[in-house]
Amino acid sequence: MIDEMEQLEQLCAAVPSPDRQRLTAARAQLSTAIRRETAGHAARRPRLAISLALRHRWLGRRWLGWAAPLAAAAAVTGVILGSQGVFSPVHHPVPSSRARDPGLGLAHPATAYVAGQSGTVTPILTATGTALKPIRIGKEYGQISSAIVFRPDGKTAYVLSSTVLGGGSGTVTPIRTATNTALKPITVGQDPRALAITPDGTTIYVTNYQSGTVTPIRTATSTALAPIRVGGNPWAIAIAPDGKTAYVADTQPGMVTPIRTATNTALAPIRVGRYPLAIAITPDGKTAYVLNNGSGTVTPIRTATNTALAPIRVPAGSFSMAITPDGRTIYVLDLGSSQAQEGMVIPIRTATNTALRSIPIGHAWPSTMNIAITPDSKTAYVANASTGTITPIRTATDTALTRIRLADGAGPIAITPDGRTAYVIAGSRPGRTGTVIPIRTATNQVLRAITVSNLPSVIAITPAPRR
Amino acid sequence: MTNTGRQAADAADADLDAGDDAALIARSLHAPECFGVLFDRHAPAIGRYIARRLGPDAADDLVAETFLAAFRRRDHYDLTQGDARPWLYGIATRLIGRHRRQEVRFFRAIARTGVDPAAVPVTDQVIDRVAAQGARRELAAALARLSQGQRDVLLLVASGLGYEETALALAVPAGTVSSRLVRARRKVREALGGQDPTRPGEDAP
Repeated sequence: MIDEMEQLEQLCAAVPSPDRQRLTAARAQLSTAIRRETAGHAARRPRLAISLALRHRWLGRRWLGWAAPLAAAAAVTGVILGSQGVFSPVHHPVPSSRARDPGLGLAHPATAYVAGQSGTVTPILTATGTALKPIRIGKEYGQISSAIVFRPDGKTAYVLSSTVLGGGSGTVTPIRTATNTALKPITVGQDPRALAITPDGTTIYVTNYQSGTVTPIRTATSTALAPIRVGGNPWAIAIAPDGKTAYVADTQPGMVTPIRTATNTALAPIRVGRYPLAIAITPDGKTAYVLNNGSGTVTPIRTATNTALAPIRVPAGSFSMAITPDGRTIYVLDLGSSQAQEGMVIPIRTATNTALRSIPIGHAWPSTMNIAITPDSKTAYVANASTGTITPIRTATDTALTRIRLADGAGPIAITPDGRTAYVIAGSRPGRTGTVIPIRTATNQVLRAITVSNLPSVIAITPAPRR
Repeated sequence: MTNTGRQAADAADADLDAGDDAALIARSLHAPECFGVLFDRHAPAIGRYIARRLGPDAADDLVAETFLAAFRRRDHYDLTQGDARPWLYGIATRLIGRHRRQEVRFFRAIARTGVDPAAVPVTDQVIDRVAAQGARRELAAALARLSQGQRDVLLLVASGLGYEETALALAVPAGTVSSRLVRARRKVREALGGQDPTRPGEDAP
């Protein structure tokens, strides 16, 4: 008789390797997830779509959400990550003493806040380009910070974090910008993805992907109010300039739910395309644009009546967008569906709701792209993490200017309120230090790199004080 | 892509294939797409391990989840460890641990029906000697009764990890692995109706 260990080994050996189809599906899930994960927009936690699907399957219920992550995966499955040609950003030495420019001074002191997986937030004084002592907001690697908003007076920053391995509630940590001290974290729902603050600064809204709710936070008391049920898996959120309505995009089943901020009640949802991932509202508040990743469309919503207008076609798989502060143009980011295609920026003219000719920015798949636009609306900076380059786009003509190469890759970008400097997260090295690289927007010159806490994933800068 | 570009890409591919897991993970810090190579290397084995404990359907999802969790923590990887298997098995084990009740139900179902959804059909494989001995039900029933920690050790070792690797995976001292393994084996042996040499009093029929 064979012993129990041998029997157990045989029990394990009797399991065949997963077949090719299953592995390919898993790899596609991973690849889509990594792509979103490394994407710089507010949304970055697709893994929970996976665990959610798993849980529901075990419960024996049909889960509508299962189809769409796979559909989203299908859009990008043509190329599976790993075997591509472009592996690392082009490495260039960081300009040294030459870049130590005392002329970096600003009209008013703005502070950039950088967060990620380190459990800390690093403030950077943009006047001098120096990093201050990191502010601890949680355990190292215990959480991922994915978004930061500020009160309009700039006095408080709010950092949204969720747990690394999923499960459990997310938090919003207020940070007093005058003293750079963290206050007690505010607990929100499961797997929070994005947050937005009303223009008067009184309320923050957090989308809880797994809970299917939106948590309002009263900033005066730092307390979470009763969650608003929106159903589905809410992700992107934007608040109209008049502060009266928050628009929440449910990725499943492709709805936008308006929330009346006065009463915190959800209004009738508006059907948009499949898997909406981003919302942008025009400065006049008349139109909300919703980017549907699964359908390859942008749906304009007339906010006066909350009705969807005819969708504008963009490449399927477009995943992020930004609107110029003057409201003239929306820039949609598309990674390209394979190595053969370049990453593209698609301008949409809001006056006519038409897509213009795409602007190529080099091979971007399967890494990520990020965008930030100067306050004067003249230049859009688009980061391509695959090539480690920034492409400035002149918005007047929608043409690309000379690409800027960075030493350590190119991630999320934030621009100072005076528009003089763009700060780019430049990734992290095995040595485990993150860096942020300032770029002088007047000349597109790269300045001296600033060391921040490891694995930074989000950067935001205090707003200009209101007059 | 230009011809030269393609050659360079192929060379880079070959380069990646040759490197150990640590080199790959270090590289993926900047080039996330490199992580796909790690998946290709280890996903089949991780998939088998998860399927053994939770069934093949659950494995589909947890394989992707395991590698995504690994991707998220890749900067935390100890780059002196050339073999990422203990690390990956450890992450998979932690994820499996969240589904403890499902795992117990899975093994109980095998004990009740004798049908093992994770195994290749008996008709296809002579290898399935466990079933031939009729011991599978008892084995599954015994596994369902173990503590999570004992099941972790037993199934990691049975999946081919050494004691040191199992210790790494579970982030416990090697001594703990040995003692847990001894206790777990004894329980399984007893459940299978075998004799326990460590308890001489029970030897007599």
